[in-house]
Amino acid sequence: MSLAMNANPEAPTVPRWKVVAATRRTILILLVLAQTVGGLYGMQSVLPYHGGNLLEKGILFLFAVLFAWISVGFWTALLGFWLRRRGGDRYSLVRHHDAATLAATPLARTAVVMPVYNEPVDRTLAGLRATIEDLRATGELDHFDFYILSDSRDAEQWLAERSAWYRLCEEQDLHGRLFYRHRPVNLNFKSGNVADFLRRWGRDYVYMVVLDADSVMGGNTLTRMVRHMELAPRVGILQTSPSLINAHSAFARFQQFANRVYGPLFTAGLAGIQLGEAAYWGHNAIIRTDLFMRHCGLRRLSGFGLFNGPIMSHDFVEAAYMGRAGYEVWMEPELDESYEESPPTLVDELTRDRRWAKGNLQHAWLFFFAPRLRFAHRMAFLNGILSYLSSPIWLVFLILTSIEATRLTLWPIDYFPDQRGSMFPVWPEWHPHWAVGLVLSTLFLLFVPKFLAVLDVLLTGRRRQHGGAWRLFLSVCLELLVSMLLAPIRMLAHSRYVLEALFNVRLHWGGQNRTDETGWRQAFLSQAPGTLLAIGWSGLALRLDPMFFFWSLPVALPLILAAPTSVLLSRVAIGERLRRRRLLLTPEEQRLSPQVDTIAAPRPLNPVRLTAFEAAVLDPVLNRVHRALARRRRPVDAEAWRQWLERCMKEGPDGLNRRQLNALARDADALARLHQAAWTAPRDSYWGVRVGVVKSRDYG
Amino acid sequence: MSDNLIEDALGRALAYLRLAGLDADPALTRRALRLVDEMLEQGEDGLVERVMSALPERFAVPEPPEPLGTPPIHRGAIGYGVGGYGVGR
Repeated sequence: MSLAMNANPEAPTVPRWKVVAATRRTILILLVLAQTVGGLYGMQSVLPYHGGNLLEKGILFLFAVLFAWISVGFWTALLGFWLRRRGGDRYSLVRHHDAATLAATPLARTAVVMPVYNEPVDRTLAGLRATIEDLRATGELDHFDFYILSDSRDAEQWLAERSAWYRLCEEQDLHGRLFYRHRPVNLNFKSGNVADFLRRWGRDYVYMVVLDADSVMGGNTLTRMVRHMELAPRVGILQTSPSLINAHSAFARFQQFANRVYGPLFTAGLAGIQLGEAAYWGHNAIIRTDLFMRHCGLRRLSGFGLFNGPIMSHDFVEAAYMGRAGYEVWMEPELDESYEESPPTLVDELTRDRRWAKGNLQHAWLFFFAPRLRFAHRMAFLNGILSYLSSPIWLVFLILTSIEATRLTLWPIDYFPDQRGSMFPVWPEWHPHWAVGLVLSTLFLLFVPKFLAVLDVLLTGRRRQHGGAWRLFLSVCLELLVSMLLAPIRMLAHSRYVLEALFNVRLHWGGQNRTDETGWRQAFLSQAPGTLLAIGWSGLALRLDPMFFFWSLPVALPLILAAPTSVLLSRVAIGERLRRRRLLLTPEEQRLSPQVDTIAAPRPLNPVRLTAFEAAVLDPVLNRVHRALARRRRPVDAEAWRQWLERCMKEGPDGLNRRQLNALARDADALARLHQAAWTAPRDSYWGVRVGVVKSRDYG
Repeated sequence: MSDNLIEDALGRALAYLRLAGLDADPALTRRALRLVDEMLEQGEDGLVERVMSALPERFAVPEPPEPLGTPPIHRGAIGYGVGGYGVGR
């Protein structure tokens, strides 16, 4: 059954979904415009001079941008609620074919690729193991190959990855099907890593499923995705909407809960607006490799400053290029069993946001100058840009309103704000009840989607998945409180990141922390500027007008409390305590799925009592593996190489720097010599002591 | 004669064989002991070296096939679709 797809790519008729998408987007734009005009009118009435001076004009402009921004979110959620109440979107890709057609569709060769960069090895490969085991259970594993694509720079890290990869091959009996590639030069970050894979092996596969280092996907979901792609040749990318799992810290559990309760509404609405012109999120998606290779190469930006160099946030751009080539990109919230993890702490989330802010702002260049992009994809760029730009806009809005309050308190009233010499004075007017009305309508836009999401949970019989109605209510209240505490902290941090991006500050990324808690010292140091700013601002507000002081508190108080908020939310003990009290529960926390079970307590793949380098030298099997995959050519500087080798034999790896250790670990001859020397080293030497560890029965 | 030296040589040999994939049963231990005893006849100096270098020929140390890190390269190219002002050089 084909409802809206064009089976023939040459067919001239406009697909039905395009008509529906255009209608929905037009309605959305009209609603947002109407709401923004209404809000603007309200704000103009609230301001004492009704927008009669430059300061108030600035306030009105920023207010319009912010109000439109939250209005888009509101209507997107409302559409999502409506679509879900109707049992899903009939125009979505997954509704184009019935279950029988889907089941009868043969699979095609697919590579599952997992780019990694300094990630915790056992956890990362546990996710891949879970995906493999679930695929095996479907009986369709033979159609899939797996690639771990490492950009890790330290020998200790990539040796650990390669050892774990080998153990996983053994464990899963996947030699020759599960591959490991370590890129010696990590050119162009993750997108460069994937492009490197495509240049080498892309032609061997019809599809490529991209996973993140913390991704897990169900076997049935993967096979469904391949079949949908087989049935829809115009689809270039099919994106799932990953659910957050495996959260332990309080922060991650709040994110996970919000993702599971509010997420479905927003993603359903977003998918309903975008339809076949959706965005690609960089992972948990399937890609048609030949189209991707033909159309989605990323050239360096050739502008100035931030807009010069490799594209950092590649996924949105790749989706836009796929669309530009005339192919479809779908995001399907109904494809379940697609998972990822939340950063464990606020500090980690903000570290990630720092990269994303820069990457998203770079898209402004493409938004303005990339030719022939589809309107929806330009809007996706704008959406991504505003995700971060809205923070400094909010900050400037607060500054301007503070100046306005200061002016009215400290300076004489200006009866002639119009500089063009009007004969009639303007009397400043205060309408506190209008101000309250405006605040209430803003809160309405912000919070109604959340209440609708809760209503959706109740109406779809999912309340037990979140601990029952009462626990759900308590969890939502807690989540609202925490999100209000976090909003100003994020606003200030994002504002800084936007400034850094605009001034093109270089970023160094050492990989994502997925486990550690935040210490008090780290929290106080990182949050100190915001805290001091908030104390100064609320102090000024108190001096000016007690009412202004109270108005400042929702922003100032969270900033003053930022350090303890950051520390306490990072605590695993608090997250676990909330779980024991059945708060912030999600479905997977109550009924562990096999995939989640596998990553919740990953079985170690590496020996725990030796470092990866030591294991690569001593363990006969691992030494053989690393030698087999190492290069065999002589190093450029043979004398230096000999000295490093001798030092390593005598003092162990600690006597070498990163470059020297990498050189030895990549060299088959060096590994063989170290292996031999270590096993015959005197007992009290560095390697003799390590041999003692290996001799103990509990090793490995 | 140093008991510790003999114990160390035997311990290393058994650990190596176990890590290489052999079952550390009593028969293997006896064979390893015989090897150490044999090597000891040449003196204590260099005992560990002699024992360790004799292991591969005296024991059928499993040599699994070399792992295939990556499949053969099937070179392709990345295309850039449509170019345009400011998005390519």
